[in-house]
Amino acid sequence: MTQTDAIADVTVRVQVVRREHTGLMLVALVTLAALIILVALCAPVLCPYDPYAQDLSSALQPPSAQHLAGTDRYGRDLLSRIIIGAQPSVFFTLLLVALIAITGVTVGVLCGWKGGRLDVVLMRVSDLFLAFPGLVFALAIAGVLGGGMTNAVLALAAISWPKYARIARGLTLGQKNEPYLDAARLAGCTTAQLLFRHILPNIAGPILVTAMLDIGTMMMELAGLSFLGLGAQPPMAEWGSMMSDSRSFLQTAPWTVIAPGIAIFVVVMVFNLLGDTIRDYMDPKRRAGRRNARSE
Amino acid sequence: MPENVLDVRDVTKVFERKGQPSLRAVDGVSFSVGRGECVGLVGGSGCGKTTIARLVTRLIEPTSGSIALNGRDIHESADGVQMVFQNPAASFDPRRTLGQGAAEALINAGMPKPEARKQVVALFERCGLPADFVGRYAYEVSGGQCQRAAIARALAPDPSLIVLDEATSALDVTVQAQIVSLLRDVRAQRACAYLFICHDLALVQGFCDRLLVMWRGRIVEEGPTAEVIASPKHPYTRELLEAAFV
Ligand SMILES: Nc1ncnc2c1ncn2[C@@H]1O[C@H](COP(=O)(O)OP(=O)(O)OP(=O)(O)O)[C@@H](O)[C@H]1O
Ligand SMILES: [Mg+2]
Repeated sequence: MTQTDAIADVTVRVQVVRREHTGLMLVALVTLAALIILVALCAPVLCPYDPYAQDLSSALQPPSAQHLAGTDRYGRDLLSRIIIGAQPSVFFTLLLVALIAITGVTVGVLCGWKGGRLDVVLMRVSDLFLAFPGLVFALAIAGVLGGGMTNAVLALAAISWPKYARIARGLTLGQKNEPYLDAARLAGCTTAQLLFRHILPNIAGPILVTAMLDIGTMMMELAGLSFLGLGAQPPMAEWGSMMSDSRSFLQTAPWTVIAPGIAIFVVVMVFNLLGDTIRDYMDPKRRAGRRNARSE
Repeated sequence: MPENVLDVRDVTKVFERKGQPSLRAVDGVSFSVGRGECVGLVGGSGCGKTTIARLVTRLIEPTSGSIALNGRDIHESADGVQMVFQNPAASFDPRRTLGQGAAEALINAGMPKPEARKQVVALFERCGLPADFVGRYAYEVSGGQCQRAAIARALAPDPSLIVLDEATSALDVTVQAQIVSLLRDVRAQRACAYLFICHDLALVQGFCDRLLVMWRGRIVEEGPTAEVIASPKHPYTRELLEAAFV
C-alpha cells in the first residue's frame, strides 16, 4: 500500500466513523426530544403534586425525598411545576417556530420566484423588521400588546420571520434556473406543482435545520420575555417566569432558580444539538455517501 | 397529417437586459423539421442554439414570429415537444428518482401511477437501463446512464419531436457513440423527429439528414448534411469545417 492509499484509507474510515456517529447522535437526540414532548403532553399525569397547590407551611424547602426539586416560596412542589411548565415552553415554542417558518418561507419563495416589484417591496419590509434590534423590538411589541404567552409569540414572530424569508428567497433563486425545472415544465407541471413538488422539497433541508436550531433560541427568548413579565403571567408555571419569580431567593433558596434554569438549559441544548445533527445528516453529499456505504 | 412536424416562421427573440443594449439572440429564423427527420443545428458558442431550443419547447415565448407543431400553432397544439438537456444530472430533480422524473409527464397527463411506472420501466429497458434504475437518483448513476434515463423521459409522452440540446457534449467519446446509436435505434422504431443541436460536425455528419448552420442569431446555411459538408457556401461554415476536420 502506497502512502496516498493509506491516507485515502484513513480518510474514508474517518468519514465512515463520523457518519455512524451522526446516525447514533441523531437517534439519541430524536429520542430525547420525543421524550421532552411526551413529558409535556402527559404533564398532568406525571406531576407528583398539584403544581398550583400552595402550602405555606412547607415553603422554600430544599430538595428532599418528598420534594425532589424542593418547593418555592408558596410551598408549591417545584418538580411538578417544572413538569407542567414544559407545556407552555414546548408548545408555544413549536407554535412560534412553525409560524415564523411558514410565514417567512411563503414570503421568501414568492419573492424569489416572482421577482420584480413584489420582491423589492416585500424584501424592504423584511429589512425594516431586521433593522431593529430584535429583542428590544419584541419587548416594545409585547409591551404594547400586553402580557400573555400569545402576545409574546406574536411579538417574537414579528421580528423573526424575515430571516426565513431571506433564506427561502436565496434558496429559491438558486433553484429557479436549474434545468430540472425546465424538464418539469416540459412534463406539464403547473406553477403550483413546480413550487410544491420540486422547489419546496429542494429548499426544505436548510430551512428545517434553521427551524430546528431556532427551537432552542425561541424557547430561550420566550422564557426571557416571561422572565421580564411580558410572557407567561403568574400563577402559570412557565420556566422563565418561575426563574423571575424566585430570583430574590437566589442566595437563600438557590434551588428555586436553579431547577427551572436547568430545565431550560437541558431542553434548549437538546433541540440545538438536534438541529446541528440534522444539518450534518441532511447534507445531500452525505446522503450519497451513506448509500454507497450500504452497497459496499 | 401535415408533412412537417415543426415549422418555425420568421422567429425573433430579443432579450432585454438591464443597463445594456437589448440582445437579438435569434433574428428572423425560419426552418422546418419533417416527420421523422433528423435535423442538425450547428453553430458557435452564444449564437442562439439553446434559445431556439427553448423557443421550440415553449419554455420561452418569441418576441415575434410563429412556431407551428404538426401544422397547428404551438399554443393550440396539444402535444408538446420534449427535450434532452446538456447536463443530464442537473436535468433531474435531485430529490426525486429517475423513474419519478420519467413518469412525471405521464402522471400529469392523468395516467394512473402503476401504469405509468410500468411504462417507464419498459422505456428504461428500451434505452438500455436495467429496471432497478427507476429507483435511483441522478447522482447515483454515471453521466451516460443518466442521459439514457433522460432520453427515456423524453420518449414517455410519445412526442413527435425531441430537441437534443448538446445532449452528448458532456459525455466522453465512447459513451457519445452509444447514445447516438440509441437515438438511431429509437428513430428506426418510432416516427420521431430530432432537432439535434451540436457543435461537433463529425458527430452530426453521420447522424443528421439535414443541417442548419447558425451564426450570430441567424441561419446562414441549410441543406442535406453531406452537401453542406462537401461544398460549404457560407464563410462561417467553412471555418467550422476547417476547425472540425483538420
Ligand atoms: N435569459 C437570457 N437573458 C439574456 N440574454 C440571454 C438569455 N439567454 C441567452 N441569452 C444570450 O443570448 C445569446 C444566445 O444564447 P444561447 O444560449 O442561445 O447560445 P448557444 O448557441 O446555446 O451557446 P452555447 O453553444 O454556448 O450553448 C447569448 O449571447 C446569451 O448571452
Ligand atoms: Mg447552448
